[in-house]
Amino acid sequence: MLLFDLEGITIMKLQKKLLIEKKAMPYIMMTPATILMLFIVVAPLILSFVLGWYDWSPLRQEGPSFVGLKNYIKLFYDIDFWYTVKTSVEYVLMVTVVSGILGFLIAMALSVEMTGIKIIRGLAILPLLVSPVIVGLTWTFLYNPGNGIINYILGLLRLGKPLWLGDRGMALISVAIVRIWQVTPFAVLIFLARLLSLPVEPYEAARVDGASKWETFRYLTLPFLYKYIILVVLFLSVDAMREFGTIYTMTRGGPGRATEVSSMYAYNLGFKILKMGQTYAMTHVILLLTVGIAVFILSFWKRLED
Amino acid sequence: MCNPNFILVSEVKNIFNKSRFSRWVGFLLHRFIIVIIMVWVLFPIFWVIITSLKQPIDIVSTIPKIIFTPTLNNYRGVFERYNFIKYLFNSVIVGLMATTISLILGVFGAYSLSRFKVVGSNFLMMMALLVRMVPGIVLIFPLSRMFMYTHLLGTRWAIVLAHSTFLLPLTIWMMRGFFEEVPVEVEESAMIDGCSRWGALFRITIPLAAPGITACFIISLIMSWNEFMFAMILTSGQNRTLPALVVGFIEFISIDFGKLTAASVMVMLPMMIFGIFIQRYLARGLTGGIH
Repeated sequence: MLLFDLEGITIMKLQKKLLIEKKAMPYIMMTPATILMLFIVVAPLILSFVLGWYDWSPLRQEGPSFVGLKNYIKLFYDIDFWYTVKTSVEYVLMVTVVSGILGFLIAMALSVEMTGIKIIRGLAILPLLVSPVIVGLTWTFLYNPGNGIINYILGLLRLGKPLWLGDRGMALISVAIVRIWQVTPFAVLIFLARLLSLPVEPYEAARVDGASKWETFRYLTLPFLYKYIILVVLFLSVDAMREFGTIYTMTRGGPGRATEVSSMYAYNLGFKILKMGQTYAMTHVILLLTVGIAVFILSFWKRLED
Repeated sequence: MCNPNFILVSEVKNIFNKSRFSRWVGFLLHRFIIVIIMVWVLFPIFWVIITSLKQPIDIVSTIPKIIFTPTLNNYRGVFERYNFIKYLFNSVIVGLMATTISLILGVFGAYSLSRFKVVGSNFLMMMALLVRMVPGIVLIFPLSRMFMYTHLLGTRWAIVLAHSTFLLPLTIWMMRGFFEEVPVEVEESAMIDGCSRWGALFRITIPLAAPGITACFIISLIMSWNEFMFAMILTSGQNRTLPALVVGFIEFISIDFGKLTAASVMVMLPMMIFGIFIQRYLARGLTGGIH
């Protein structure tokens, strides 16, 4: 009898302990990550939003002075800034559209079974693993109008010798090509993963029904890929907005302002011209733009789920 | 039936059988496309490696040379003149520290997100997703200011923390996907057999998700190793990581392509090898386990 009671108590204790464990555990686990994120991301963002209201420069003696919305208003009338926003949007669009489509086509080409296809798939993602800086240096070398290999080959084919990075009209496209080379494997990777894990049954049903190849693709494969297309477009465009290393190594925003994307302009404003207030205001516009793009793309996701 | 032409016609039809012919054309076209893809992807990498093995005279020649006497002088030069080993060490240390911190914190956060629905979990998930989108340029100015106030600027901790800003959200996002692939039932049966929740996590779930954790570790290491902007701005002289060092090559020295390409090869090759090992998990990790 006594034994039974003891057992009952221990079981109750155990249950209570488990309950506490269950209630407390999620919080115990989430807290460290949340705290670190608050310190290294949320706090800097708040600091930056505060400092956007002040005007100061390390070059002057006096400290920060409160100017209200002046930084943002100045930025609004800054033609150079809007020009860099335009450059950024062009760059992001070029990279996202071309990499997305190219990645899709390459993934289709690599989704067949043949000898050595695994090795080919492995090699196809290599550019993704190279540092953007190294990619920039490599392509500067390839683009070199004097003794670069690209112009040598174009010369052999008598296709003319563009100046690539040195030409105001070509520079942004040249920089975008480099980015496309680097990030297309990302699209390939994700599309390929989906294409290789498609369920078999619907395709058999389609064959029984006598669907043509195009119909199978249009009404089966494409719908299976919708979510992944949105995902790829989201990451390609947001990451293109983040881009800094490749353009920095290749052109530093030049020639003139041809490849000066917004982040490049903010870097120059903050570390060269040292107008800190405006720099902060500017990074907020970049943030807003990036989040805007992300929300816009994610709205398609919502529509898909409804 | 007696028409002798009948056999002939059917044979001719067989030889030029349209479906077989077009299948052959399709086959050749497909292989041709694959060759073009491989050239497009691999040529730049191939060319850097080739160039790093050339003598200075062969590099600047206006007619690019495929045949030349290879040399390792460029590599020796990088090690002797630029103290490459030290910066290599910096990169490894920064990568390991940033990766370990975000992996430990991220694994627990991700596990919690994949198993419980509590008040804070939506907040953490949204934050991880949003932070993944924040451009580095937005964070660099306030971060460097904060590091200045806390006297962390110029130390290794500055860049480790800066790298955690993108590694931690990535880890949470990836590991949540990997944990969701581990069935809850396995955990529950372990708990019925007397494991506590923590015991089940450490003895069952984490070992089952080990390949995912390894993949996550390597991807984080690659990203930290390759990162440039934080590295350039937050480190100085002694603490520089490899990408910042290599860019320094074109800033201070009239461009010596031999050494530049040799250093580039040494920066990119290790990560390529790592990347190939975890290829299987790369796509699943990057999509965060979306089906």
